Amino acid sequence: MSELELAEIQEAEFVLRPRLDGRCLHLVLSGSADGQVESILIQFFRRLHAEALRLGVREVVVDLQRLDFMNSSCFKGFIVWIDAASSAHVLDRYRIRLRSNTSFHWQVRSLDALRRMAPSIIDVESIAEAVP
Amino acid sequence: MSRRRPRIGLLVDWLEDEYQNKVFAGVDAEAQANGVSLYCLTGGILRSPFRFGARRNFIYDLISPECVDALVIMSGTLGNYVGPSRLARYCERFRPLPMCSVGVALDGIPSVLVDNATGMRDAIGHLIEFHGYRKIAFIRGPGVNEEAEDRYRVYREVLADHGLPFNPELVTLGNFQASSGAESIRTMMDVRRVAFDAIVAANDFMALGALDALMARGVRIPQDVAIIGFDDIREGRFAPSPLTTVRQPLDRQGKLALELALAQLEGETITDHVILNTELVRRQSCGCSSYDAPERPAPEVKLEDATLLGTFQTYRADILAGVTQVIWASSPDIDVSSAVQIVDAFYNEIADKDVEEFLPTLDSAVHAAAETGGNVDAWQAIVTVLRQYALLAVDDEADKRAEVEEKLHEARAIIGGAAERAQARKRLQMEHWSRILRKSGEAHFTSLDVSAVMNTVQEQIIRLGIQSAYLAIFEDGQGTARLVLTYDTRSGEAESHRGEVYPAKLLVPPNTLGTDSRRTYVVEPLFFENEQLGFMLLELGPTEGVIYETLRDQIGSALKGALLVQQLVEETARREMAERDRLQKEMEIAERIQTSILPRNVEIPGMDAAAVMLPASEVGGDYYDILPYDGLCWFGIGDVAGHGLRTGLIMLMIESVVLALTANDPWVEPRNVLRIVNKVICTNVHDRLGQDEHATLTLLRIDREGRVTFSGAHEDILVFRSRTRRCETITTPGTWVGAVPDIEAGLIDSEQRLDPGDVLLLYTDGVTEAMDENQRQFGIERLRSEFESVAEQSVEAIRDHILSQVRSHTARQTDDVTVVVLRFRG
Repeated sequence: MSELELAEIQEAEFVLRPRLDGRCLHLVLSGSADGQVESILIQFFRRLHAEALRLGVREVVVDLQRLDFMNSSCFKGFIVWIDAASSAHVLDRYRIRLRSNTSFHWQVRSLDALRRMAPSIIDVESIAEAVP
Repeated sequence: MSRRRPRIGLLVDWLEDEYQNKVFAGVDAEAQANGVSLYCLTGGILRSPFRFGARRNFIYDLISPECVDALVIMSGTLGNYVGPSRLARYCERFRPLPMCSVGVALDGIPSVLVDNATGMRDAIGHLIEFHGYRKIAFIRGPGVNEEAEDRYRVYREVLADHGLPFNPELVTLGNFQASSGAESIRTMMDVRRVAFDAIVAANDFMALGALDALMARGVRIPQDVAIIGFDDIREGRFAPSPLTTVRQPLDRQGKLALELALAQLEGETITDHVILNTELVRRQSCGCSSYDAPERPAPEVKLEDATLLGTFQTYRADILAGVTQVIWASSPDIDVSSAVQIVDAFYNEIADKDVEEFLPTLDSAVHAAAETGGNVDAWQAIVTVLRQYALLAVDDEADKRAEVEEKLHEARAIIGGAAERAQARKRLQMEHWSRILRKSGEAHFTSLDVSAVMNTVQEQIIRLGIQSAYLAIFEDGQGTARLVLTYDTRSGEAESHRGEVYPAKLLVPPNTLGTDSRRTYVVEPLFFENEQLGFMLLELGPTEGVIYETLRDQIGSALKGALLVQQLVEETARREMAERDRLQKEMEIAERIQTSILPRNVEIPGMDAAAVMLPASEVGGDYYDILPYDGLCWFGIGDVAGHGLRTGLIMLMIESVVLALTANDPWVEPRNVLRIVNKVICTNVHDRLGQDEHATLTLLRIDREGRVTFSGAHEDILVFRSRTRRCETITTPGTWVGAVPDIEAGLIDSEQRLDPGDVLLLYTDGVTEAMDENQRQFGIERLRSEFESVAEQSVEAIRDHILSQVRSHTARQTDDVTVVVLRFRG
């Protein structure tokens, strides 16, 4: 299998670490995603679907449990990705599992709306972990 | 009152070649002797297609009586592509400055010329009479160059004088460059296929070019083809076959030209041209030996006094003539008088064993020559002459012969050692300069602004031993200059003029140059391709002209790079400013769109409502609306992701569609309105504009019975229950509009009921996500708490309290803030 060609994002207040584990792609987001990382994050999500297809992944797990905040402009990246993933050919389709932390109010609100965009491919796993 | 020191301008094409350097050296020596200042303007050959000639001509346009008092014009090179009559007309622009021309006679301008005819006649005659050549080719100079044409005319005359036929196939047209000499060989050998046994070129450069081209083809010089040039440049002496040539006294021309210019300044009227002699210098390329001594006396000649001293007394004149000739041929730098001293010292020592003056005198002379950069090795030729004559007297005396040979051997060792040291010193000096120029060239590449380039230039010229330098760049064409570099080891005043803007024709701002001593400056044009950037004045330090030309090349390119970066920075700043202005205007338009369509003074039967929206300068896109109809009222709240005009337009679309649909059917289900809003936004934004935009949007329909039907994802709704006096949080299930074409599956209509006195609070994320200086959000809990604390007050009071709390929490507003408060009265 090819190596993952998605670079890690490491900014002062925000980190996104991608990792490929067999046919499962893991994304771990932490910190705060605001206007400072808006363009880089949107670029990342634009590449994400193509990379998932290239690697033939079956599932993408997005761990948001340590993501304090994401503004609506950054969230646009997620939406673009979900739109692409839900439009993919049935043979190329992969599941998306969002691990959310219900301690963050914004996640509760936004991830449910996100799931409703493509309920057939998105699952939201919620845990209530104290905000560190 | 003291008289101002005269300033002389020397117009020369450039300083890389020995011809120009030697004339310059003569002018400079005479300027020093007379205490006048000299500005050597290296402006290229007029209209020359070579060496960027025409591109650098602009430096001559700076000449005016405000910067110089008289001119010396090196017409021999300047006019190579325009000819003497057009050059003379060109020079009229410099009137009333007194002028003197070097090399070419210009009408109305006193000129220092050389007798081209005699030297060239001797050279061609030598080939025919001494060496017996018959098929002599000729490489002409530029057709408009008077000197070149004189030399060509003499060639034809000499052939005729000797009864040799003139064959036009043996004549080519050159341009004084070495490359045209090589091209002439190709033309004659490959194109015309004409045979020749000797070549005469109108200057040394072309002769050397031809020599190299012939040797590259395996033609031996002079065994197969002899070559003669004209000028006697240094390169000719060191050619693989040292070049026989016609020497013209270059530094003498320079000295005389300056004398004539000064004489005119003193008021003398000079009408006659001065003509200097030229002389044939025989070396190996014609077939002679470079160290050929005068023919020695025939062996049968009976010496009356066949002792060494006797021989010397008999032949002193011949010996000195021989020495002079070899000096002429090998190195005109050698002072003939010191050679005479050596000859006399040699014979004195041989005659008197107690005298030891030959070797010390020789040692002192060769060291002096080495100090001044002369050709030390040339002294070997003098030893050769001495030996020839000395052996005449000691042929039969073994002891005496051994003594003579011993002394001459020591002499050769002294010369050899001195020559080696002189060469090594010269090589080290050149390596030193080369290293400085290379390093500064590298430094220029990394200098990205004008001041950094100037710092590098200053370091460079200090290390090169240049005492002062000034560099100006043009502003608004060539008329005005700005001084960007001032460096002067002898004047603290110079620095204060940096940055000064002044008329370029002054060369430097008034009172910049110290008046304490005379100076010689090389004035180099600074240009890049066809762009004229400015000019620089470098005080004469090292005498190798190539250093100033290299500096000009390096600094011109570096300056252009720095100016480009500066332009880029300014252009970027201008564009950023324009972009900021554009964004600002866009924001203003977006804000007007947002605020102008907001509901005003809405009267709703059975309800009180108060709302506010504070647009942010950076991010915006909040939407709210209140649409009262008969028996019910619609409320909408949302947030378009992004900012700017596009966001405002999307908000306007949402507002229009909601208004149209609810006005058409006030009892329409909210989810159906959202479905159509989504369709419109997707089609217009996603499909037509190719943009990825989406919005949170919750629509609420509240009837007179207090029944709330709502749909669409946005922030949670807060409801203060009058009965419990507690606040409830109601989620808004659904998805965004505009993200995907079909959201029907994600839409549901939810219901709530309001009792009289209940208060409903709608808001955008600009409220809950407002950050304080420690990046802490205002948060939903705080909002609840603040809401509860004032929920029983008027809707306006509730709105204002929440707004004031958010404002006092916020370090810097980066998002729109919207609050809508509704109390159901029943």
